[in-house]
Amino acid sequence: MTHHLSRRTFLAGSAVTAAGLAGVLSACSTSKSGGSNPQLRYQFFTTQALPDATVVQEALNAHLKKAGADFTIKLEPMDMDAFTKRMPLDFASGSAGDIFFTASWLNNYYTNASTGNFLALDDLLPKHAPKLWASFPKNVWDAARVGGRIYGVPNAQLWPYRYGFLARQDIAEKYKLDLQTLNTYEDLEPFLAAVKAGERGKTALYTDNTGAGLPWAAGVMDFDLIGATFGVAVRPDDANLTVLNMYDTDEFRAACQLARKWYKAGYMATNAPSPADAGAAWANGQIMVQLMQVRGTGLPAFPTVGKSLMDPWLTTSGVLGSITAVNRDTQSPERAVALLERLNTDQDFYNLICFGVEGKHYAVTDKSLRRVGFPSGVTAESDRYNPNTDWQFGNQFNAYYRDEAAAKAKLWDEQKKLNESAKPSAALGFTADTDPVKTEVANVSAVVTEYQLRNFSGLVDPSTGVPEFVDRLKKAGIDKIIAEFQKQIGTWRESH
Amino acid sequence: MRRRLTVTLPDRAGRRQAPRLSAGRLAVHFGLLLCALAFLAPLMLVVSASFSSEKGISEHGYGLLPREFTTRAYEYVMKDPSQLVQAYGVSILVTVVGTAASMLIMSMLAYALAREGFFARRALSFYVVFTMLFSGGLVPMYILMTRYLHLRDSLLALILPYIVVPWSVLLLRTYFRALPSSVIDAARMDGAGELRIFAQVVVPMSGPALATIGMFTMLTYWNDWWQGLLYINDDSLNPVQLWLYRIITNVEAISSNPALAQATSAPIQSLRMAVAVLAITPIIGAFVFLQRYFVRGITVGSVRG
Repeated sequence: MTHHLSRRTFLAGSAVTAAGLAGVLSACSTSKSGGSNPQLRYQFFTTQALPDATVVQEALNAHLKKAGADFTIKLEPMDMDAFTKRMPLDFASGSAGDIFFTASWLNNYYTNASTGNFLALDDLLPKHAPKLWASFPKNVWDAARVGGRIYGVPNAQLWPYRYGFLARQDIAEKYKLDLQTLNTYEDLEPFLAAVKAGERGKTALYTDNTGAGLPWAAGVMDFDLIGATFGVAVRPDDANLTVLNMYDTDEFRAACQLARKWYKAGYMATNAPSPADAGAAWANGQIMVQLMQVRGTGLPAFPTVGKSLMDPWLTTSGVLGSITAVNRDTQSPERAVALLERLNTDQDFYNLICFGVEGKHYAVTDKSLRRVGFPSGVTAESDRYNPNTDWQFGNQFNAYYRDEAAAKAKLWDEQKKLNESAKPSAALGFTADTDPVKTEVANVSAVVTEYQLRNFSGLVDPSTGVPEFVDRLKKAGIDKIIAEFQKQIGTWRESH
Repeated sequence: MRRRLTVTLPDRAGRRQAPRLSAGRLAVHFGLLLCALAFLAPLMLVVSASFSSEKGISEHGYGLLPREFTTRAYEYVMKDPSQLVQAYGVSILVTVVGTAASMLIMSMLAYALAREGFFARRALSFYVVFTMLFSGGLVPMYILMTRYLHLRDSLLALILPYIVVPWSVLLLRTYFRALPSSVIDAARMDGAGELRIFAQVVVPMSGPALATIGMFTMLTYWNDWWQGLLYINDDSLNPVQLWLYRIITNVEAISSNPALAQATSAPIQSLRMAVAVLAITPIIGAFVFLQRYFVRGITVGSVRG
């Protein structure tokens, strides 16, 4: 009986093994962010698997070495879903990268800046990114300020919103759509009616269950949204900066009436599908018209005509559509900012990260037009590095063109001009601090979620629905938010 | 020690003698047939939709037979078949290793907890039940996994989080406890040590319970994508569920966001179904194979031997 374990030893042993196995099975890895030639981690989102990210990373590092940079880069792409879920965990656990993508709509810029996850760049930018610093006017940098400090670099792209509509070209020609005389969403009505009557079994107007593609979803952009999710805004041309309740304006009531009319006339689907399904139907040519931004990029595969139906305003939320920020805990703040300089001003470096390696991931189709396409035998689907989010990595106006029409029209120059000619909103650079009215913001947001969609998608009669909605907003404390923001915006204006 | 079913089964001999086709029996069979069809129809819809064209689905909706037959969705998923094979490989490895390790650890733990004489029984039981009711939360877990155990991009990150499931441990403990202690005593009298009693007496007597828990554990490992989403960056370590999940979420992000639009359009509607088919096929195979254990395991306790 000496060759086997005693009962006590075995029972204790098996229990301890079971409970403690996790501790034993661990590997080791070292982080390398400081030192003489630190590796800077760049976290960004992707909607395509990028199996060749490491190949591109090597090319980027070769480029950096040749240019004499004293750092290397590590690309850490994550799917949008993983990016959304993992970034907060990375911040909370102190394992976020050195630089990362942030925006008003993903990896929230304002929240992260005010909770101290981002490094303030005011002092670093002029010294370590002089060209980038000089490339934007003061009001653009002001738009990126939170609590008076700059926490991220806006990526140059077409900043003003350009809401309008896009229609299938064949349909527009068939029903003789006249773009010249079309200036409001109401003007679309005869066209929609003709399409509805003539195209049986198809849907005239796009909409989905989030409310995208409705007159209000586009019209809302005529306001400068300082509190997008809870209905608080200012008019961009209002020098007095009166903070108002968007849902208690003539614009909202008119947009609801129009949607109601269109809904009753059957221009859109009675049961709004999910965005993915609606998007698929749009891509398959089942939907004729969509109210959306008309920017000249991100067009569907079929030919379209379209027009923007709003004035170009430079607003804070527009400028904050795509930002790169630096981790507050980075070991090499100067080099991180130098990397931002390179992403925004070194065309070859930037295009390498946007398009990959020439001949492998893209091919130049027209050198004089700076237009690129896929190498022979490679498609958008089989390309091993095709993030297709140029606006995420830096100054989009340094990018090659993907689209022939855009290249011929020199779209970047056009958009640059539009950026410069866009009138700055009176509230450009103001970001509201929601902390003092946290409870009201939560309550009002809940009311908005409950009432907004059914009103502006035409499901209820707005003549009774909107007053009820406004009444609920008041009860939830929207006036307190307005008063608080009015106070903040006054203080903000004085400090300017 | 053979286990024997003592519940009454239909008299086979009698049935063979006279296949009585009474009205009642017909009605029952018809009802069951309808039931079976009701279970099969959704599966058929999924398979047929996965072979339909986007245009067909948009225009006519789903049908039991494919609308405008095409294999485009499968071509899209398998544009690089090596990735699918790799992902299946990862999933199979994680499922096999994970289930084996998990079963070993959980059954040993449960056995220790089931034994009256074990000195740390109360403390350990408390430890197991405690984690059932309270968890550290996502952030501490994430910190532990990435900062202390350094399990980012490691297959262990897919295995360890599910290696001990308290609920399963308690089920096994209850089962072990119900085993007649006279058998264990007899084995000890014959000179068997604890390890031998466990491996050669207790485990063979616990087939149904172990099979049930094994099935659950296997499904947990096979179906999981969440751990991979959190801890796996390296594409070559994606389990198949995560890999398929990523294809779907990416395509949905692209098709619902004009700023991300591609010149090519992925067949989103049929793609979803193709992904579902690819995700469930292997586990359905395993289920058919293990079904008899599963059914027996469910009735653990109602059958005594």
